[in-house]
Amino acid sequence: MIQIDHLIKEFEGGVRAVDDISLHVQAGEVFGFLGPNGAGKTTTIKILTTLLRPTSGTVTVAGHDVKKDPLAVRMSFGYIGQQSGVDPALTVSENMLLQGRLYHLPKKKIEERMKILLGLFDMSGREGQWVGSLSGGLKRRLDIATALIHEPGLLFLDEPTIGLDPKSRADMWAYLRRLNQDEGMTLFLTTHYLDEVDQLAHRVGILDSGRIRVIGTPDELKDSLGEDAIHLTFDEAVGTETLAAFRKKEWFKEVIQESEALRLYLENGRTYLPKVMQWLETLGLSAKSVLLTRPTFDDVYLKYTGKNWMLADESAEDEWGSWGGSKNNKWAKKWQKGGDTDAEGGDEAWKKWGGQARGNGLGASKAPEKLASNPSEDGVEAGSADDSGNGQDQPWKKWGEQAAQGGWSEGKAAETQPEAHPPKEKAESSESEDKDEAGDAQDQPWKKWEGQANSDWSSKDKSTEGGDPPSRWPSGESSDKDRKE
Amino acid sequence: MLHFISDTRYLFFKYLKLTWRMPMWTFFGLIQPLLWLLIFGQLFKGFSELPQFPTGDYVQFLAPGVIVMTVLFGASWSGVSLLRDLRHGVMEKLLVAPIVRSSIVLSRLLHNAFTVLVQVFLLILVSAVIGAGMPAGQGFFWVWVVVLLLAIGFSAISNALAMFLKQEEPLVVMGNMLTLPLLFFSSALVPEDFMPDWMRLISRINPVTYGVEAVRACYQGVFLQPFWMSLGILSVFALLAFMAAIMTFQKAE
Repeated sequence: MIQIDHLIKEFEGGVRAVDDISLHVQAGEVFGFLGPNGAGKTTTIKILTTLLRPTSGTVTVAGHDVKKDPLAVRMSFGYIGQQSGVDPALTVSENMLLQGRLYHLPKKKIEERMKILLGLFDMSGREGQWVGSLSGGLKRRLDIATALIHEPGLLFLDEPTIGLDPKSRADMWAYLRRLNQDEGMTLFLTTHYLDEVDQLAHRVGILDSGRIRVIGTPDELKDSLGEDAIHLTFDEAVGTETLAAFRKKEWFKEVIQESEALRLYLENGRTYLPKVMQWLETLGLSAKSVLLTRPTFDDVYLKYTGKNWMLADESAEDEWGSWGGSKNNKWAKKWQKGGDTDAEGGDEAWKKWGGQARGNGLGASKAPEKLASNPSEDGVEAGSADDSGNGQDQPWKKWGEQAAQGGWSEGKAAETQPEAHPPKEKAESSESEDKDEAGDAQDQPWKKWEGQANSDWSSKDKSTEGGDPPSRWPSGESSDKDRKE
Repeated sequence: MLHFISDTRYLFFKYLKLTWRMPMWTFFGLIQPLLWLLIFGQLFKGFSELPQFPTGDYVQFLAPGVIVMTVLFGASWSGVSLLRDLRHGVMEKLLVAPIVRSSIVLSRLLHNAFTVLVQVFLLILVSAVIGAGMPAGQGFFWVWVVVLLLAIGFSAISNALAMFLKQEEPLVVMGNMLTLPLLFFSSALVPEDFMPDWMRLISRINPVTYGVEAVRACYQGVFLQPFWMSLGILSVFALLAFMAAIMTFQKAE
């Protein structure tokens, strides 16, 4: 459906927004482009939709070259941009009628399609309503309905759920899934929400500074890190020798250092956690905080770009960005201070984490007393509590939600408390849920071709992305290699 | 070509519908020219008693100037609605539709010209009431042609500026900055004979001058060589501006 070969887009002044991307998307697939703002997602989608011309490379959409035959390309897809795109001063039906006319459909056909589409998006009966009076979620739905008026087999979505409230986002995902499963539509979406690709995409490409770092199924990418992750925080960054010791240890599939923090990826983390703690003591290390979680796209992103997702994303570049614990941020320093003077401090810090994973936000749990006494930091605390209330757009919040939806986070968050043993039922139930998801997935047609790991295009993709299939990246060595690239 | 005509038509009717739903704006656009006509006309009444003055009454002299001014003011707002479309993503959606850029541009210009024609029609009626007379003979046809060409030219410039500047504030500032000097460096308010030489030179390369002279010819019913030359110059101006606007749209591609 989409073939991109060695695509380069250079803007005036020599800025390379897209730097040698190759990518093939099959018909019926949902492909997600993931990356922070400025990674080149929108530039790529604009080239695919003929809004921008490629500097070099070939791009074919639905069999037509975007440079040679832009009109035919435009006929073949529907497009949902970052802004709404429907005219607020017209009614729902007027918008759809105009759109149909611009795709040269006869009036009868447009009315027929309008009926079907409004039904599909649960908007029947709203034909005469002003678009300006619709809610954000409804407007977005109308957007998609309008874009589908000419029955395209391919739909481009540039950050489709940006600015939507959680309920509307979940609805949107359901509609998009239905389009793919029932209508067999190919979806190509960009997003900077980690959970969105997890929810929707069959395959994910991680884009960073105009390059694709990795392509794989969400599960493949997560599995490349093992089933569990242990986040350790120390008072200061561990030395290279210690790091090498971690990397050599056969327990861990992957070790990533992030200033004072270490992320260890492994199988069966629950049984290994006590061993890891003991082993830390033999190394003479004492962790300030420990967190056992399932790897998320956050971890995947960190692995393939070497950047913390939160810090890479400029929309989260406030004090929340410090979340992962880098050097120059208030929260990390606070935690550090707490740990230095107060044995409880470390615990408090991860309790906050736990709270966040449950979607309560940091503001909901209490800050360490020591810190609360400092008036200047008080201000920060209060400010961020507010943020947690209305910060729909903040990625961490979504993440928290996703965690809550996934059903595993509560269980795991509880497990992170070192002295408390994991509640068995919860853990089991979360596992069974995971299995259910996998079961569902098998019914989907795409799963079949996805299984053909040796088919031309999939192996080709991976080789062009400069690496082995994700499952063959178990050790620290390859991660070093990745980072050098 | 068939698609080009039908696309332009559908878009033109869409814009017309938007204007139809907020007709007040069309009338607000008339307030300023009317003020000029009434106040400026009264203020400089004695002007026409000067020996070299071409017409007997200043209002008769001023009315064609104010008609061109209406076109100028009306057209300079055209770009603002383009920015509205850009902001709402409406334009992006048009750009990915299988239609040629020139039909998007042309539909916008025609729509703007249409609203300006309505304004000018009302203005001609009002100025007739206060004694400026009416276009004479063939002039009743040609005055619309002149207004159409001017409106297309200036709204094309406004659209091109909007596409280039991408922001409303600088566009409005630029619009204001350009329209008044264009008016003063033309024969809209004062006969060219009254101008110092350097000013007359500028007025000769100012399309507003040719617009005003052509409209004046329509009022006098005199269609000699200067009129046809003005018409020719205005046609070239409209065409160049239209092409410039299409170019800014294609550059955005």
